[in-house]
Amino acid sequence: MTDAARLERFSAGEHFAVHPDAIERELSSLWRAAGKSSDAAHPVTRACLWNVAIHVEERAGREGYFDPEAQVRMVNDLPRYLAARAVVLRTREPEADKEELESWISANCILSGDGGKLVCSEEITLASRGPGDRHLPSLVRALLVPAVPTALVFGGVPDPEAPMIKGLVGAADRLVVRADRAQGSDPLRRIAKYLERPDLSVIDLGWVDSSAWRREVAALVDPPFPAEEISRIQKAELRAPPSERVTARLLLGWIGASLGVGLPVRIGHGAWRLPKVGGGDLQLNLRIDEGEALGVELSGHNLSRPLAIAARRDTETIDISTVEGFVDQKPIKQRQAAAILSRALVTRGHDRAFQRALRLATELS
Amino acid sequence: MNPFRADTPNDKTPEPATIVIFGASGDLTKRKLIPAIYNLLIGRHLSRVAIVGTSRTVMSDDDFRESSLDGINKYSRQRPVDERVWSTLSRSIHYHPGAFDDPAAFVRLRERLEVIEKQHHLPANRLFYLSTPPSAFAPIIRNLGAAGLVRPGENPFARVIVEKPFGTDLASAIDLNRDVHEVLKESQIFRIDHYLGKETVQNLLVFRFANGIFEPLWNNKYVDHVQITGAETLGVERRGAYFDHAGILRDMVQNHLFQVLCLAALEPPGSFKANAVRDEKLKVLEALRPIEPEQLEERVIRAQYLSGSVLGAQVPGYREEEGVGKESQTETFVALKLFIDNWRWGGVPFYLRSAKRMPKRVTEVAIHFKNVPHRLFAGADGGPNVLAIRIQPDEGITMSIGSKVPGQALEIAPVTMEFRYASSFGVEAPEAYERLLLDALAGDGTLFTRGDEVEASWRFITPIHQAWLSGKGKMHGYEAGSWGPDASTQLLGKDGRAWRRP
Ligand SMILES: NC(=O)c1ccc[n+]([C@@H]2O[C@H](COP(=O)([O-])OP(=O)(O)OC[C@H]3O[C@@H](n4cnc5c(N)ncnc54)[C@H](OP(=O)(O)O)[C@@H]3O)[C@@H](O)[C@H]2O)c1
Repeated sequence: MTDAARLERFSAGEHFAVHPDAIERELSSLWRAAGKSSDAAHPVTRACLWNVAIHVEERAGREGYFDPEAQVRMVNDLPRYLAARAVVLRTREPEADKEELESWISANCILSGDGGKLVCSEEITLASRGPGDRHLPSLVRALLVPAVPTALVFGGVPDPEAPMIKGLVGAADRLVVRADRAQGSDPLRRIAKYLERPDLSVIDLGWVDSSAWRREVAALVDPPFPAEEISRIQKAELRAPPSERVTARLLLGWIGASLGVGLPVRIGHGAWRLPKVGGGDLQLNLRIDEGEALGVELSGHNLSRPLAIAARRDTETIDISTVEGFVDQKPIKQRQAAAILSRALVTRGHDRAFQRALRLATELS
Repeated sequence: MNPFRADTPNDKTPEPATIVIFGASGDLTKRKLIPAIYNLLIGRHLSRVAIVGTSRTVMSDDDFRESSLDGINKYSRQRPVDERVWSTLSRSIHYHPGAFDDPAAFVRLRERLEVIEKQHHLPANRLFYLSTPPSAFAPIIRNLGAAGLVRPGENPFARVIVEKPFGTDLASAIDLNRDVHEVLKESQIFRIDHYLGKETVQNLLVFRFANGIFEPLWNNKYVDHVQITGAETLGVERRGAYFDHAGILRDMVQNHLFQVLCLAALEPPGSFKANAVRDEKLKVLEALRPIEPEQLEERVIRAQYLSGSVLGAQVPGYREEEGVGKESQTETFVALKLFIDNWRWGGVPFYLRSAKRMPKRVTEVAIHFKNVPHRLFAGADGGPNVLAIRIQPDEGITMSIGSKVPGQALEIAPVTMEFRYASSFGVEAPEAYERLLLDALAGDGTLFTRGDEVEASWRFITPIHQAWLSGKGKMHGYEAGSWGPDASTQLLGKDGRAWRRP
């Protein structure tokens, strides 16, 4: 194949099989060819702000085996939102006559807004079979673009003690998990385990995705709601469908951490109490029910009626009611997984609000 | 403090408020302001707002909604309109006709605002946006004061955004500041310079002060000179009559290019708070060495475009444009040689040029570093290092460095390292007006011009303009589509330098 033909197929997104130890060399030669390409109308730019290692678990019953295809789609959509080198780690069951390890390279290109440059992100796929996954951490370390931060993205919340996971996490600056897709008990506690490494910033995609909801909760107590009445809120009841059980706990943790101090005490099924900032107690209730919209109701002694919001998936709106009885409806957009991921990578720093929410949420069990 | 916003330092969501736009029937409202509010809503940067448009034109709420929707569909960076966001927004858009010199109209406006605030459950936070001809600024502010619409205090707040131009010379700027201060505290007034709302202009500060390697070089020890270019391909379009009264010096340099100059040259502020940054900008303006009338020829070049070809189209000369006098003495090109007389910049010339009908549209700052003290590679020279910060279009930063050409001979060639916003971040930068509206709602004046800054820049500019009016300073001509008159090349040439081709 001529260089030009290879280049065209490469920038059109075709995957080229390469030996793992030749990946960088092959990529460089393809980019060199791109630099010489005569298509002056669409010069090719190679851009990279992050290394993003994405784990796609294809072994049934394992953590993260929620929807491997959805993970792959997220990788494919990512260049529209973020310039990154994507390293896709696909772990598979062993298969007779198949290599333990295979790899491909491809480019994911989009036409940029400023004058028709073709901006390309690289994608490297490493597929391991069975015990081949032991090679992945060191390969990932070798394939990171230098001086660019590294995010590691899981489809759930894997066990921090598993050897491959430990190896991968060691190479990361930012860890992206998805608690509402996790299997096994108590994914929030597992996330908390990762927080023990102070230089690793951890973020949950469900949390990032709930930002519109959280903004509306915050807006409930914006003026004209009198600031001094915030301390009169005595109870927060959060409702959610079973599918959003984990995120709901995280959000209740956030509300508790915002209005209360210290740790909650369990007072009944789905009910806790914790002290409030200005004295008195705050009660937290969690109601999981089929058919519920993810919503919260804040009530208290002297509030003439509760403040409430509910995000309704059926109408894609957030319904809002405040003390005055005023009801507003705001649209919510379903964001693509890749868009949510790119939001999670806007900063490399710690999300303190998330950390506080998580700490409290792990106590709500 | 809203407890739910703790630990989200980048969340600038302002308190719910009503935005009152004076000049609601105008072009800026439709092209920039309404689309900016709409995009802020899409990005969820606003919690709740109502918009009340006002101008003399009589129209209904629905008429104004219709023209707003048309504005969004034509000019918003996110198009076409998202029906659901629009349905929320349109409900909160209102129109209230009134003349700006009629005090009774302001009393009615206040009553209308109270009704609207009740209807939307908004506190009495109000942001007044004056998007009218400048002659209306002072009367509007006076009447706002008389009607009790702009009381000081933060809870609720009353703030006023004033469009450009703020004065046409030093005396009128002082007068306008005085009129404004009779009614408003400085912290209530937000003078727009939309250049400051541009991401790349803000990035000048980030670039200088968030990176350790540039600031040590950012002074007369290492910098040979600085070039700032603000070039447009457009002529005067349909604004000939307006432009012929203003000229490029007052229309572009006094405000936009001087702001860029200030950010490129200022000392590190103690914080990124409004007054800390503006104090430092003011010091730059005050340190500008005045241009005495007898130095005019040597430090300022003015010119008018003649007919020529721009981007493949034949265009008329300036004096042939509609609305422009045949004998017009208004400049469409200006180049200045400036000095900032302080410790950091002593002896470093800052060359500024701004013009219409240039070969391409570009705004950039280029820092030209000094040559190496000793030429190690005889005969081979990559040329001095240049760091160019491109503000528009194709926002980005390039750095030219000398590098060895592969081969046996020792040839050195300049190569450029390039960083482009659009390629690296992929996402579209918000419009300047989005950022500025949000900041004003949040009470953050960092990206607005303070009264003393405006006066300081007029103090420098006005004598030049007056000298021209008295007939000093030759008016040169340049072919449309060129980089300006020969005299401009000479301005640098006699210092042994040349304009960079941006
Ligand atoms: N357009 C731009 O791109 C742009 C850019 C930068 C700055 N600006 C500045 O923004 C302001 C508005 O610009 P524009 O382009 O929107 O102007 P415009 O289209 O002429 O609109 C001016 C508005 O002011 C009202 N108005 C006119 N004369 C008035 C008077 N004597 N008293 C009270 N109201 C009066 C007009 O409405 P009625 O006739 O119905 O009262 C109209 O709504 C100006 O200060 C301009 O310098 C504009």
